[in-house]
Amino acid sequence: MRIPLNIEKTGFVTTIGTIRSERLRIFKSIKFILDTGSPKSFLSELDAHLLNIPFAKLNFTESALLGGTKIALALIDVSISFLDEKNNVKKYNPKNFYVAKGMWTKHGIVSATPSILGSDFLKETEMALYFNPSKSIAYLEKEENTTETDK
Amino acid sequence: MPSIIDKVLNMSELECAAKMKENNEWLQEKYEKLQEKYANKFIAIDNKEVVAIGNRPEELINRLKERNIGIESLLIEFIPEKGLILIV
Repeated sequence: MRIPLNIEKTGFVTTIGTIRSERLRIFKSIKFILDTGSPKSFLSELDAHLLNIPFAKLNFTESALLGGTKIALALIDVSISFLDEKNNVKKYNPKNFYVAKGMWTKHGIVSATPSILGSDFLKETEMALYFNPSKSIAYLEKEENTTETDK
Repeated sequence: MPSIIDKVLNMSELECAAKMKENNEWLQEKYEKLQEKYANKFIAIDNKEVVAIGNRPEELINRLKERNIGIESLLIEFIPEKGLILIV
């Protein structure tokens, strides 16, 4: 099974994931930057604000430096679905998926950090990355004997 | 009667992701033109058109909320000026 990735005009490698949480009552497709240099996967502060995720109720237990910006991270329980190369929905329930919040930004200012799929996501979902920029080919691949939900 | 949130929650992942994909393909196709027009701004794209602009993320969020625009397949993007490289 392959999940196609986009090589964008900015040079970023991205994919569209749709996050859902019945408990938080959220549902939205998100553009994630695939960043194997990031050990954590997270939803950006901007996306979280759009989804009205209640920051005051989150437990920000971890912090990280991202390109000189300090962010705090709180775990959230969501499912993330992707479309494979045949447009089948592949749904994952990551154990470690966070919401990010800028720590050096003033009150009322939203950090511009993007939503990231990091190496933890690839490890947890047992997906491998194929990236050949000279041929503009990029995808995530997983062997078919999966236990994840195919919808 | 289902609320707007219930209607959104009942959307399928396939439907939502397909719309988002279309928005992103449109962005890539029009990138240079959008860069000329919206350099260093945050933009929101829905149904293959720019529906809101902001100098800062919070400005864009406020505009979207004021206009009550559906967010489920809304694409948010920062458009850097030509020559400015984004690194995360």
